[in-house]
Amino acid sequence: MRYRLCFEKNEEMIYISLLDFQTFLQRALRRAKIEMEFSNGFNPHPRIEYGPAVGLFIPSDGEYVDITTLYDCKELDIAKSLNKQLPKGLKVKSVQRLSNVAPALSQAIGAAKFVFKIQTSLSAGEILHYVKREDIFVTKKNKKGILTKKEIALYIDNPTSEQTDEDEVTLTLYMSQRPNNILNPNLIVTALSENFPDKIGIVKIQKGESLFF
Amino acid sequence: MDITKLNEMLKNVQKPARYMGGEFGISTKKENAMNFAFAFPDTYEVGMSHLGHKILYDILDKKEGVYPQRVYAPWPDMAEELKKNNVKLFSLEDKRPLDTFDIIGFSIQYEMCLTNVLLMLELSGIPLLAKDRDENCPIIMAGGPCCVNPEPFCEIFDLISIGEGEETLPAIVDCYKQAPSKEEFLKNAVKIEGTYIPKFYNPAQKDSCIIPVPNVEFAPKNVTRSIVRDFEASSYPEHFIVPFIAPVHDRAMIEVMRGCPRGCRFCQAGMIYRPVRERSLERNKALADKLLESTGYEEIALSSLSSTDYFGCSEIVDYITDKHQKDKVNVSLPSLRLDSFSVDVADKVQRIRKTTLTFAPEAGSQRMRDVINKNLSEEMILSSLERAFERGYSKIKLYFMMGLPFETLEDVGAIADLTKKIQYRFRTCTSVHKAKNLSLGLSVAVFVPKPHTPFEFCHIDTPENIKEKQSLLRRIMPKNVKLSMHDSPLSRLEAVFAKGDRRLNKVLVDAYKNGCVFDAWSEYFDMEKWENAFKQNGMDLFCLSQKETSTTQELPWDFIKVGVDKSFLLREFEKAKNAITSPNCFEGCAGCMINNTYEGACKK
Repeated sequence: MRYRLCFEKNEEMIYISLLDFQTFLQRALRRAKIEMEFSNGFNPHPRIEYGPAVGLFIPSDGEYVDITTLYDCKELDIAKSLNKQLPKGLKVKSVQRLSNVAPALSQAIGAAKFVFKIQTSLSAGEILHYVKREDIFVTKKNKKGILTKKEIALYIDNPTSEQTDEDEVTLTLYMSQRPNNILNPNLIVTALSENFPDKIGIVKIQKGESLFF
Repeated sequence: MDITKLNEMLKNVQKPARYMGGEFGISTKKENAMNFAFAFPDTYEVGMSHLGHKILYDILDKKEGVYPQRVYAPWPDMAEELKKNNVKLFSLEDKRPLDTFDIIGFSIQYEMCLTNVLLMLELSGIPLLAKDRDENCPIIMAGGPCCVNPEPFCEIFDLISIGEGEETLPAIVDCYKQAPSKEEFLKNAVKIEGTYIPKFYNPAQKDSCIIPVPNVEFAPKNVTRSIVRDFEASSYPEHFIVPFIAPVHDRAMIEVMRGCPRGCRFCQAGMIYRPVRERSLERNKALADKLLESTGYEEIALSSLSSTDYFGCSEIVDYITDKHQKDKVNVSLPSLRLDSFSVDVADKVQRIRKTTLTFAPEAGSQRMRDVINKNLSEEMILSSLERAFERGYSKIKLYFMMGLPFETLEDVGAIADLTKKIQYRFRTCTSVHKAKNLSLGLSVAVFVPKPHTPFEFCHIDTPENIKEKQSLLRRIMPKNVKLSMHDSPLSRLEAVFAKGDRRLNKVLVDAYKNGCVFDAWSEYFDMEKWENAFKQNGMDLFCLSQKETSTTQELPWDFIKVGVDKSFLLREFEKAKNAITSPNCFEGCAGCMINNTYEGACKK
């Protein structure tokens, strides 16, 4: 039976990488006595599919994991028993039953909402105007450690901005979560800081819900 | 502590999960409880793998009126952050600054962790030496195997607990709660088995050594190691803390037995964990079931000094693999002996994947294996490996030592000869299951003599000899063998601290002040800083490491009675000279006289 689990990840859990989360979740599932289906082969693993990784230090309202269990379970029971085994800062928000023919998680997920709370003297309009440009470049180290320019406007969709405090602008936008087309949200902060030197203070990023096809 | 500040600090360090706590299975806060910190002077990943730590943490967690917490040595990047932000080292559970604890108990597993103890004290704002600490400072205590010679680091600690802590640690905690002052506590704690209070002993020169002599009448002349007499009934955790990041040993563990029957003459653990005590099969089975259920681990280790010597080894492996087959639980067996039974058991636990088999023949020639009382013949080694080849194993790792007492160049050369014979056996093996190629890895370490072993009278081999032996091995070892040899300066330093006396306390503090931390980590080990620390105190590291010890003189650790009689050690040493072996405890008694100290504890 396939189920799609949506997790909320915040507080101290933002320091846990996806790789460590994977081992941790497998053990929590065993403790919760959710009997998993295993892959066949020399090194059997429980059938779990993980959504795109959110960067370290970014709290998230929507982390997705697909699991395949041996037996039919009630969605509510999965959430209840698993939540008992999870630490503070990690919680199953919802469980959805999937049909056997439903596309894989990586194929189904389209984009995710990101909210940036920016401490700045700039107005909401100025920031929105910049983010809506068609040529946003950011300097970034490539895999060989050489500084290169990266075009990031392509990854940003449907931005809105709002003055939420005297010196705080909240920028909301959607970013692609398609495989090989994922942008590190920290690069948007880098782009803003490069374009408006000395005008961008602390930026808090929060990942919101994902959009599915 | 200020959580926002902590969060900001964690963003600047590697592996922040090392410092955040909150793992599954931690102790929860108790009202009006005293605070006890389990301090481990190495990284989180190393500390979280340590079984003794888990056992004692669980005992205090179950005990009323005490809130056990953990703290590990911060990696230099975090140490820098703590200093920069003026934040004191804190516990993982409650984020409580270390200097506000009642007792901080350090686990000294390895001599080269000692500078980290000083780092952790300094980061907590606690004076490094016991004599500089007042009534308001926590009690700083130590435990662990290195404490069987506590003298080189005794001035740091208020109290040193020698031996197994299952029964003594709760007694120390109770004693602390009842005592009106620190002084009273220390006076009362002397009566607890295995407790050594360094300040009640003065250093005295005897022959060429400095030995501790009581300076108050209530301090005993000798300190007897504490042991668990009823191992079957002793407390063992039924749940472990499950960490977020992978520690070195990321699995559940059951201690199937304590002590080792083999009596290898170089092995300290084999001597200081006597007598052999086996847990019943029923209890081990029940513990395995409970631990797997409560932790969700996919692997369980049958832990002990020599697990294949446990009477029910085969049965427990069968039980776990059959019962937890549907959960795909693996069994892992550390410390395999090179005999056919071990190969059979290893094969049983690796039904699907043939991973690397690791064995420790320790020495290349038969004479040398008899000197160290390994009780392993060449034919046993070769036939067991052949059995492994027949079953399809192709990756073999072998551990050896060089610089053993009475060793000659021929004995070192015999390591290469043995390797060639193993390769020959692989080539001539005709089994259909045999793998295509043999991958053989050899690790050759430098022997470090340890106190309370028959080789405590020996010194570490000279650097020239080690160099000659290493280059000989490199020259004659077949080229298709992966050969790794260990660092000799670090072993030399370890040897000096293992067999040192009270004078080394000053060296230790000076080395720390010179910038030595994480000495066990090659990226931070700096021999020059250590050599300077010795020079500052008018000592020479090289001379100390080569110091001859006569069998008649009193040694700095002789006042610690681990239960094995000195006459036994001397007899074994004489036997070693003539390459005569002794039987293992299950075959016959070699007369270590452990029952004289702990009446009826040894059942064999």
